[in-house]
Amino acid sequence: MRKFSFRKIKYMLIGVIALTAFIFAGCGRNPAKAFYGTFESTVDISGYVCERADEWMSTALMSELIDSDDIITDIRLSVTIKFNEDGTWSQTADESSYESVVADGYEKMEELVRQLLKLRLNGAGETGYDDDALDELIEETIGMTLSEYVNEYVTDIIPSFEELSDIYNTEGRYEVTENVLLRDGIQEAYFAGDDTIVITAPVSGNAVWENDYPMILIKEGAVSPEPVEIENTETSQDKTDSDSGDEEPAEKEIIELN
Amino acid sequence: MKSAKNIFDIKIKMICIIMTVIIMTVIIAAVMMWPVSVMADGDKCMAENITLTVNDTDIYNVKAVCPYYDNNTYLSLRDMANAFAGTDKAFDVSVASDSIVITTGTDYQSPGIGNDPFDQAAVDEVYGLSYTLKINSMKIDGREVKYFSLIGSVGGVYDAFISTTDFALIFDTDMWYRGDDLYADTKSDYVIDIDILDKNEYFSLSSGALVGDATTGDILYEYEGDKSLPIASTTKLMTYLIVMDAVSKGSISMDDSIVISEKAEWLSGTSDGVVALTAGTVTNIQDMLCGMMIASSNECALVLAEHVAGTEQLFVDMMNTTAAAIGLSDETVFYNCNGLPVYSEDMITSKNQNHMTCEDMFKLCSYIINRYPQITDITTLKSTTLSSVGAWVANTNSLLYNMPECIGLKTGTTNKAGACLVSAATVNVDGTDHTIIAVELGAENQIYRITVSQVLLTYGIQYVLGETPSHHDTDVPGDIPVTAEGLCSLIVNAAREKHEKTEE
Repeated sequence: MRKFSFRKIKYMLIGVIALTAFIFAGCGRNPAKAFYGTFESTVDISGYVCERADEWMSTALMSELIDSDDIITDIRLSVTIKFNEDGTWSQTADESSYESVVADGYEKMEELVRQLLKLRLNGAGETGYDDDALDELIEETIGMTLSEYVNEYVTDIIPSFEELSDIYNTEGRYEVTENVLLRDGIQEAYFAGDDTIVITAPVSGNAVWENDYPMILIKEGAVSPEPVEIENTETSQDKTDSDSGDEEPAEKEIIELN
Repeated sequence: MKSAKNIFDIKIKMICIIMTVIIMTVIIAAVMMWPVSVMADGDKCMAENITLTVNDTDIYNVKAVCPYYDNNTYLSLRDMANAFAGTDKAFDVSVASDSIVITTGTDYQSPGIGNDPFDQAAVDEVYGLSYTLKINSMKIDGREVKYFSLIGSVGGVYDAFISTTDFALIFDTDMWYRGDDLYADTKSDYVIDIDILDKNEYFSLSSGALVGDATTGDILYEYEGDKSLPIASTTKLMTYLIVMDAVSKGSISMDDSIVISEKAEWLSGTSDGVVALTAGTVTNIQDMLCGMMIASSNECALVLAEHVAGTEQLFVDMMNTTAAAIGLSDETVFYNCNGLPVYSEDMITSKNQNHMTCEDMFKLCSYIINRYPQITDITTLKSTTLSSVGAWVANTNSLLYNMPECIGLKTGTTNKAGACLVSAATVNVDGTDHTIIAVELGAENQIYRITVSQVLLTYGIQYVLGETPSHHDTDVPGDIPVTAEGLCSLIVNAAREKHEKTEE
């Protein structure tokens, strides 16, 4: 018959007490509280515009030499994100920002077309056309400015608000731990200020909107903070550095071996 | 050993039975599914959203479908009704699964749904929609019309789509495209611009087309008017003339009793037969003329030919003689009295068809209308009963429904001739009646036959009434291209020209 060991029981009790203390200590501060409420943010819809711009451009020779991603960037649609105390969250696209999205998109499309025309003119040996000279040539030829042409004839490059709503209106459940937000199976790193939450990057899972990090959520009614610069933001999408085009490549040092 | 063999046999039999059951099940399932998929398979249509500007001010989205080919645009009647609300050409429309009811002069009573644009998925899926293009039941202000339309469920409610041309004709609204955008001026009527249609080769939808004023003899427009073309059952117009000439001369009488021949009975029993005839039955000229001109009955034409000339061949000789006598060209040749193909008696047989030019057909019809205007007593009938043979016949000319002013005359269809229609209308100008005749030969199908004929006849009427079309800027200024390559090419060429001028 085994002897009853009070020492073991003692150590067990100490462990349970310590664990309980640890749990209570952890629970005393609820990080989810920082999320309760309604926030305003923006999402970058450039990718969708680029897709359509590329399709329009695809009929043109040499269009493959222009990367629309470099020109059509940072077209931001406002969204409202609500985190509820019951662990549910929702996001809705904000229609009031749609008009500026359209204007921004067409402005960038105009620049893309301008770059394409310059490329083609250079390719045809018609060099020397700066922006002003090109704009003048366009207006002489088609009777309208490039901006007017793009707005009238390059249609459907901006998804409709309904389409954007289908993409960005969503809802689900969320959980918050220290520095990690979990929603829809994706863990995202964040840090929270008084009226601001900055979601910096996904920690695990496939990022839903890769280009939108960091996502800056500003509590409704608060003053928007200065832009937050995040260094070395990692996303799940591989990025390759592109040449600026203006810099001369560094000359390789030639080492002569004797 | 015997029992082992039996067991083996039983196993084989069981396997065979099971395999048979499986195969039969698959076949039955496929057979049951196949008719559904075939019945449900309509015409493939592309979907697009069109911008419509009404009266230069109001802009609407109009859903459109393009059956078979791009730009073969059929417009949503609900969206057009919505856009025309409050204008001079307002109309209400209700659409069921196979019927359309239009009431003009009243605003659209929207059911609250059905006017949303096509979603991007529908537009992106090329040929994604499946509707059936046909003559659905359609009434305008209680009057039955026969236009081709597509009916489909869109956004939870049935909608009907008709061609832009038909819409403009029905609602008599000035409409035009500028690039991909549609414009409508509800304060102006739709006046045919024949020059634009000619420039756009619109009438190449047919092999030949012509419209003229039979009262003056003037040809107002023609396309391939002197080209010899097969004429199918429009032949029966000449048959009518020969019969009436025979009546006029006293060779036969409208009171004659005609005994139907065995040859006529045989013809009525073939796939080319239209009216069931029994040899020995006694009929009359009026019934046979009605059967021939209204229902395009080949056997009624044969009965008349045999009554006039004794045999069809002798009658055909009369047709060719009369053609020459009234001034038709050598391009007009008849082989039979009804327009069916005729096999020659040569060893290596040829398949001949009666043929004429559009110009000759216009001359023939002008001659008939002026000499026997009572032809329209028959050709305006939408249906009638041939009492002597106990047959009810319906008119094959759909234009009688679509144009109240249409007074006939005759349709014709064979594989070689295509879909033909010779139509006519009367219009009064300063107290004088003018008969406008439109000849359309060789359309690809009934849709084009009706539309081209209605356009021709409408143009003829408008011409005689002195209506002139509005001129719209249908070309984008300087022929502005809408593709990236088009723009690049235009700008590069402009730069080169500028460069060359500078060097000069």
